[in-house]
Amino acid sequence: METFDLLLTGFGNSLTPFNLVIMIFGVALGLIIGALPGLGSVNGVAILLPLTFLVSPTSAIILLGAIYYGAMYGGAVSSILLGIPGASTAVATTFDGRPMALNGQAGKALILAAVASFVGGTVSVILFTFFAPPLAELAIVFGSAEEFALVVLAFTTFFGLSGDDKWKTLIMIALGLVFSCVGLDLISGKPRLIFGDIPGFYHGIHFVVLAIGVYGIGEMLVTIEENHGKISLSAASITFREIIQGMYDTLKRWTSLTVGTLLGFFVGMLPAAGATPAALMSYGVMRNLSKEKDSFGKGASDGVVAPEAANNAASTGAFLPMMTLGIPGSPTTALLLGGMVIWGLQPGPLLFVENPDFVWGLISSLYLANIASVILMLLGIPVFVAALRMPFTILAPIVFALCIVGGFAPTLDLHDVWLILIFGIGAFILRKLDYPLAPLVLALVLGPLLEKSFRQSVIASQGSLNIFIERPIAATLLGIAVILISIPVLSVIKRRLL
Amino acid sequence: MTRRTAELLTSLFLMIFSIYLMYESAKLPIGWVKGAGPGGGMFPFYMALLILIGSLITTIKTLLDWKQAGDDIQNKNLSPFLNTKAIKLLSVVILLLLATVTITQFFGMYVAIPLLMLVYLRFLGKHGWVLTGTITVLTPVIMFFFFEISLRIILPKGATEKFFQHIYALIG
Repeated sequence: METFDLLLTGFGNSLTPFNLVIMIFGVALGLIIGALPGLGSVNGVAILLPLTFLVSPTSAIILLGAIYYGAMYGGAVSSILLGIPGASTAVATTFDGRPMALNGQAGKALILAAVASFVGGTVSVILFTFFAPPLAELAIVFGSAEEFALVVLAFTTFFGLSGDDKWKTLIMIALGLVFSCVGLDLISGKPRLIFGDIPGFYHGIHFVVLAIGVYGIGEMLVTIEENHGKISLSAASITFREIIQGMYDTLKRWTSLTVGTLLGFFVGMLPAAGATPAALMSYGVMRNLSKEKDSFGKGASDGVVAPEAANNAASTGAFLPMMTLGIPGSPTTALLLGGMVIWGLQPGPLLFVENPDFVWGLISSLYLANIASVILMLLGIPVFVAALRMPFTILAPIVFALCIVGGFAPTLDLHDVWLILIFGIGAFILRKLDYPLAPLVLALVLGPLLEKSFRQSVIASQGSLNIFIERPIAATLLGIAVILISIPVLSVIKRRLL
Repeated sequence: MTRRTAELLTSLFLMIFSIYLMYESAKLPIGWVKGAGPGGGMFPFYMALLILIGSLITTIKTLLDWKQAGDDIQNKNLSPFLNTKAIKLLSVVILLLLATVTITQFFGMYVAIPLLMLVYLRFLGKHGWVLTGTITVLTPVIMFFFFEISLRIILPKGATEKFFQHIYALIG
């Protein structure tokens, strides 16, 4: 029952009036960011991360965690009311949520989404609470060889599991890793890749700079390009009675809830997968399991419940490897991980020993953030409808201004604001050509760890590579990595032979 | 521009960029230093090599698709790279952003950001003067109190530095 005691202490930390206010503010902000087309949790966290450097790390992570959660809930709002996903994680919600809204059931669809999100989110936080401590304990013996193997494994999941073009994925991972090398060489202390001799590159490429470029500027450019036409908004209003009825309807669909939650949690843990594929997968599974297959795509309740439970469960699942191993399970958690480093914390198994206040404060705040999200989402439906009426031409300059000012804040160097623009335009072009951007951001965040762990291992074994084979855990992890890389290669060979 | 032209140009750019990255990496030892493992430039050098290989293969794939596509207008590779209706707006927005940062360089953010707001709201958004004016005036005030006063982050001011000394003197 040690976990339970720690959790109670955590509630003690996260329940201070200041943190509660911050959390409710974060959830409200997240809901609106999630509801706005073009902006999701990763964009909200990227744009607002520079603003958290003033408060304590616990308050900062509570704020960002709340934005993350709120945005997961909010994504459903524009999927249902506008028919365009508020965030990529809510794509699957449009399949049946939009038809429901067009049938005049927008209110019902929103309630289903909110309650399903709550169940998926809460059950997965409970899973997290019990999985995380043993995993952290297991990982505490990890040395640099195991760390290296883990990071390699995280990258290889992109090859074996994601649907993107393998070569483009490879290019993006390698590009992110090269960017992570810019600055002073960790071991020799010499300047490296400073592009001739540009002083702005001596402090390296800050991950916030890349994240704001990709998820702030780049995302807005994509939205400008794609949603140039008119968007129509469905009306929605709900009564208290409908909320109670909707809760009952959602809980009745326990198969969808279970499929969504479990699939979401475990798929969410994988760096390559995350909330979007988790939601799409659970939608597909439910369509196959359902007795009313034909109603899918025309406004089936299960088609809203399953993906919404899944994307919220996945957002919690992504926390698990980030907190226990220091390997983020999604782009958003990669940003949170980068934030933790700035706040002076070392993510990974030692965090549970050295900063229990932070860890359990975060975990307890996730429980509270779920409760706050579901309440605010249901009460706030009129507010969202108003927010969605806000013309994009007002939102866009505000986001651009936030990107420019926010990009200056972490390093106080105008050089980085120029970089944000370059990254933003580059990311826009790459995204239009289906280059995956998540591996790029993940590689920049994990690059230093990958290189450091490799070079430290090799230095420790006097320049020999045998260390990666001699240590059983490292060898096993690398073995799995080799298998993941070979999946696409084998499938190509199979196709050629048949 | 068709999608495949954009695809080829991007691959070409990535190839040139990766060669440049290799050249930059090679300024540090890229070989195996005896007894100490890899040199400082080895890791980025080989990563840049991977970019080169990846882009080469992407180019070959695009060219192979080219042969297959023929004159089929429905083919994805022949479709326009960008939404033609949006190109003008996109270029204006990108130029506006570049102008904003250039102005920041000389006159600081408190001039550049309100200007961005003004131009975007009034000329791209076609909003009324009341709304445009309110947001344009409020933005620098909020920026100042949020960043300079509460976060103590000094934003770049360029030529307007002197003016702010009076404000600081007023606040104390």
